[in-house]
Amino acid sequence: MRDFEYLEPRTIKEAVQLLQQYRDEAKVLAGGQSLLVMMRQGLIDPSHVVSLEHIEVLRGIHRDGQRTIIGAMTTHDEVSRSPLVAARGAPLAQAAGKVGSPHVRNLGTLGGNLCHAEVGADPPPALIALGAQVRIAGPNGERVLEVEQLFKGFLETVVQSDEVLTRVEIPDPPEGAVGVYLKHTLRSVDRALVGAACLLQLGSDHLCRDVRLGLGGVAATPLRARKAEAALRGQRLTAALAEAAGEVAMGEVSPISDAHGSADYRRKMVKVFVKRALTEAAAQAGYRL
Amino acid sequence: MKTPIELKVNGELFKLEVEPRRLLLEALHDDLGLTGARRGCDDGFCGACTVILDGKAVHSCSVLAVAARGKEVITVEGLARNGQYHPLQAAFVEHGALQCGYCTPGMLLTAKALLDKNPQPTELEVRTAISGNLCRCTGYKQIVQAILSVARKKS
Repeated sequence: MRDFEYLEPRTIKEAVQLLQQYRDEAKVLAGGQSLLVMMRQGLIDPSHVVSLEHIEVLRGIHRDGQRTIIGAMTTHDEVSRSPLVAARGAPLAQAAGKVGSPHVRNLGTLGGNLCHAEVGADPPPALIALGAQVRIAGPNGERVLEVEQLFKGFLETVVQSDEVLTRVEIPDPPEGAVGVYLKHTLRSVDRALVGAACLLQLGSDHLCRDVRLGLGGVAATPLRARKAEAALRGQRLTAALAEAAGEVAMGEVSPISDAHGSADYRRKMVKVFVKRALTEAAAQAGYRL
Repeated sequence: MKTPIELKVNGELFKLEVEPRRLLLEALHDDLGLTGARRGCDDGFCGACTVILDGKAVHSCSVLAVAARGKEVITVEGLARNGQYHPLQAAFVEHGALQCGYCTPGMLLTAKALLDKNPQPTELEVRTAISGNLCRCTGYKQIVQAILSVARKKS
């Protein structure tokens, strides 16, 4: 790497000021598990690195009314072990527990993962299924976005070079809702070939009252499988319907072929994992499809 | 521009002058002569560079030395005491849990970090803990057995 200036702001305001000052010359450093890898590989070489390490208010998980708030600098390990997240955001707890490796999870942060926007990242589809939002701080104040709106393209988010993603906010799922995150990958350290998350509300007689499906790894950005959801909503959830929803989801994705798998394979796995996610979620509610 | 940092490595306090771009792995190699941590993949996932940082197993290739300021690092060189193998090292030898040895420092430290927090792990917990340490030689079975044998001895 080329040498850079290492800046250690103590507050969000200070961080934003530094980013405003250095703009495209600066990169934000969270856990370093993506940024430093890319810098070592020469893919990016900022002249200034703004570390968020000392901004305590960015860490931690707490309740706020009917929401769970996760600071952007909270590590994946902390998210995966949090009783608060387990209780009200189980798909995210599962996703966080599958990021990279334990080593990566010890330092890697939720905010960093979201801002890096890697294809096959685990938290984004889980957060989309949970209907979560992110808060972004900039020179003109704060803005709140749905997680789905955060992603613009391959490794690209709408976070500007003078902004900092400060926290993730997860609204409480409806009473009785169940959810999972499943990761299809050949080696556990890899990104997801398919990441499938669902949040499911079942009524009497297996009626699907509502459902949210998040998919990762199968398009340039994580996405919400709205057509597959529409095929499920208001219907009795059966194995056949889950499979049909998986089939619909196949038409909503645009995976690429690379060393880890062909586009055709990934597309077929979308169907498998959407069905599996629905099946496992339903099992949590006591229904065997 | 170099910055002074102080950090503890294997129980000893060191004062170093490092550029911000210096990785912890590089500082260990070039400033401290500790070459046990290996450079394996340049991609942040193989675990050959594993060290224990404030009690957590991390990839030293993905940590800046300046970020380790004020923290405690344990490397494989810090395991043996007075010429005696650490129980994990002895178990690895006994169980044939190494062949080329390249992944071994990382494996040992990951195992130590695990047992320090979870003295009686299940086999699944051991396998999960070392899922970030790739081994090309052994097929992992003897490594898992070695780690479990140390856990069993302590109980």
